[in-house]
Amino acid sequence: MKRRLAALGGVLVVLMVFVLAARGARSAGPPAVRFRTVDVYIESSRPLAAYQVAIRVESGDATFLSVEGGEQPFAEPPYYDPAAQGDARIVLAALDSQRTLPVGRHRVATLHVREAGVARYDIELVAAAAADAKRVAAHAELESPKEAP
Amino acid sequence: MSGAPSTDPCPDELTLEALAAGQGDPAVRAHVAGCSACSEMLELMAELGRELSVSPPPIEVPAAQDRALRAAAAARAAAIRPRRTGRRAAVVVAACAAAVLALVAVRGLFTGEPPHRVATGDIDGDGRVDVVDALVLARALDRGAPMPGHCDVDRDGTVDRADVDAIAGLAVSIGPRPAARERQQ
Amino acid sequence: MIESGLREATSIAEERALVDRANLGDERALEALYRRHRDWVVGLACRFTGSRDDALDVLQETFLYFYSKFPGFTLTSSVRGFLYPVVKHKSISVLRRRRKLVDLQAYREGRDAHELRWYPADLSNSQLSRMIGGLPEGHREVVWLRFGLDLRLEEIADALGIPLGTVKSRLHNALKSLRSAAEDPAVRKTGDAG
Repeated sequence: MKRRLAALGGVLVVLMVFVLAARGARSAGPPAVRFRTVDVYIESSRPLAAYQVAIRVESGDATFLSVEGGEQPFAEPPYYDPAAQGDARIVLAALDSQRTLPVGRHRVATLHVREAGVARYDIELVAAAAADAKRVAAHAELESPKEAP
Repeated sequence: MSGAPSTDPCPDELTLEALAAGQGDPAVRAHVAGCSACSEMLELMAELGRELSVSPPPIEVPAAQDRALRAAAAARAAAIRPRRTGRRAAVVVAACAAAVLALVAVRGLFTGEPPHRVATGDIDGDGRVDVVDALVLARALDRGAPMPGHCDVDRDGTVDRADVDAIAGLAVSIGPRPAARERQQ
Repeated sequence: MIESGLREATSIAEERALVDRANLGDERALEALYRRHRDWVVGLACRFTGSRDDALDVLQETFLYFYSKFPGFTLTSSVRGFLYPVVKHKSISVLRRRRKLVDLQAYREGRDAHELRWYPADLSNSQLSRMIGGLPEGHREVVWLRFGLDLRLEEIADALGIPLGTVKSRLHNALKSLRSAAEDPAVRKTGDAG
């Protein structure tokens, strides 16, 4: 009998926790909308003359608004499909047939995103090439710029 | 009101409205100066302006959003203007690229071999269209090399920087890629 | 009067020059158009939606749509004549997405839940505001655009997508009605409530 009462009590406690959590979630309201930037970095084994990356929203509620260029020679905004504005997937590409980005890790673009709550992104390096148009080994990643205190 | 009351017929409401908007000829102004009815109508219009132009407190646009919208303007402008690489609007590029569906018999042009299926914009013939194809074409243009017809991706009759843009536009398109089909040369 | 006409002409010429340059890909021109109309758009959106957050959403959607019109944007009366219906429709979309609840008064009056509060909700309960409220919807909007937003008649025609002649006709009839109401002793009796 005592064991049954204890078990019942345990179930009631668990139920109360769920109810309180649900109430807490409902009363929290819709997630706050914010605008922020996400930097696109590429690190290559040879000086880079062209790159192409595909970025998508992996989780959360976010859309891409616009894109800025990065370091020279990719300082101008990269090529992208305007249909990606307001969407959860975007492909960026840039090239310079006369200049190259030095070896190492460099910021090639900055994305402007609109988020409602927490969002996570995924990046895929589609192509990277050196000045001789030969494909090179490279790595792409996203980074949030440090916010000012 | 100044001077003697006007004896001219009053202008209609639209004429008075034009006067209130800063237009109107001297005769109308002279009439209004001497007409209490017209002056009252102008005062009514001024009161409408005061009543209706009450607006909510100004909203400060968050700096991050403002920067995003300015960046979007810059990106749009960059897509439009001829860049150092002769770039055109991404939408124009995408439209041209989407409209070009024909396959090109690449090897057949030079070797007499049977036509092969090659996707539009696949300059390096590796079976995909990406930024490397655009780079290959850009380098060839830098060298002044003669270009085969299949490089005229935007079908304007010449192979130039606009075709580089067209290929890049295909590469970044998030819509369905135009399907390859065979074309006899 | 002449000076304000000159200022207006200069402003129209400036705007036309900016649009021409933006159509050629001039980044500073396109950004200047954004800066020129940003606060107007967000203020108008706030009047429509009644919410700062919704207004900021409308701001963003409006300008991304505006940018998409370049190259090839054709300026008719003014950029504001183009933007007004965009802001209005984007405001409706934002409100629909957020599924705003019908306020009780709107419900009693049988108005659509998504009806925009374009007519200033913070008007005083004055005789004039009651007179304006008594105008037909189309006349009221023309009066508001002319005297509240200070748009020219050509801009109003552009904004509402109606012929200039219709704008003039509605404005003329609205002003006549307001004038008659103002002169009506029965209306004058009620006086100002506040």
